[in-house]
Amino acid sequence: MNRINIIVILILMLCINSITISQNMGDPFLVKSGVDVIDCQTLNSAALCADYDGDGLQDLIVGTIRGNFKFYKNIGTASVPVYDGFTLIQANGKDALIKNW
Amino acid sequence: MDLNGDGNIDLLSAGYSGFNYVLYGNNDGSFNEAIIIKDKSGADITLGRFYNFKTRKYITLGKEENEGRSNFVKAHDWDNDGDFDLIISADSVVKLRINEGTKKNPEFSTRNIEILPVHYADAMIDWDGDGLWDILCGSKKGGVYFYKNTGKLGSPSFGKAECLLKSSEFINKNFGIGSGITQLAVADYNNDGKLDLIIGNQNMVDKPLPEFSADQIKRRDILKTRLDEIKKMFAVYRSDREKMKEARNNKNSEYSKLRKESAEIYKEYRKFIPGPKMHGNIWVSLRK
Repeated sequence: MNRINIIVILILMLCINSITISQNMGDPFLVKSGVDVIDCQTLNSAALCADYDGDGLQDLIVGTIRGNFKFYKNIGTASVPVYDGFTLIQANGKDALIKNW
Repeated sequence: MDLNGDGNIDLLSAGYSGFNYVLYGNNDGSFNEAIIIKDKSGADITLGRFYNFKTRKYITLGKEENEGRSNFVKAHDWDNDGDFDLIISADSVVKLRINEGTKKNPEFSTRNIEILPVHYADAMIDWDGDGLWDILCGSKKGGVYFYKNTGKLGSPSFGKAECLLKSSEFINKNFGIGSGITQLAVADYNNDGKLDLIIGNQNMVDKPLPEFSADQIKRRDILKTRLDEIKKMFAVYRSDREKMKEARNNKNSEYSKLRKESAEIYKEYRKFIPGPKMHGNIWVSLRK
């Protein structure tokens, strides 16, 4: 077995033992609110999609570093969600808040 | 999700404090204030590191109990007994608190059980359509990973990770220079019947510099020269650990004065240098 064959086998063994890469996801795109990209600034935020206001369309809810929850109402359609601004989710009449510090 | 089985949607969230919170929902869609989720003994559920709001410092329990700072929480029926268990995650560990109560009266166990040594279990859903829920998670270094459930209902088991999206795919095409932590949710974003990924990340974008005047450039060079001089002086201290230790403890030492001076200079100098600006963006990746 020549040196090239050995190298090829070693590479294949490494590939088998490492993380495999899936090919079935589309290129990620940035979500916008109006014309601007949604930006929670400074740190990463967790987001989820759910029909928050019960209109049959999935909305976007985004947690922020301040401990609030931004509600982006879907003003588009089920297949093409569109967001334009947010309101803060309320708890007992005040901005819902997770105490961070 | 409905944590206490009362038919109303509740909101679950962790944060930077190390505690896990629930905002119980009302039947009109509104929420109650956030409360810390407790175990069956009445103790706050944590991973052993949390913030003391009185002393304004983080507390770390003993080495054995310290598993990190919980900053992501999900409710999921891990053991398939019809109620929600808690899945709590820190930077590189995912732990489980079994619900030993019922769907309507959750009573979470007092011990954390390790599930996976990975970054956050963000979503638990049947991703590959084999009838078993799987785990999808973000990463401290960016990217999205899939852990196939190779066990059975009530007794999940996970193999190696499959990378669904690499970190490099979360770099802004225009000014992006890097991607930080990713967290994700799964939903059919475009209503095509396929599950998609909604990802929050820390997106690093190059800070564009303005045009500087001749005077500003002159000032920049003066500051840079002085910073370089201080850097050389620091190097002398670094070569002698004892000397540095002694100088650090003396507020009037040359070392302490130089540190103060360099901090002051840097405040002004930083506007002249390019650097990453952090953004918290939301991305969507549609499943093909």
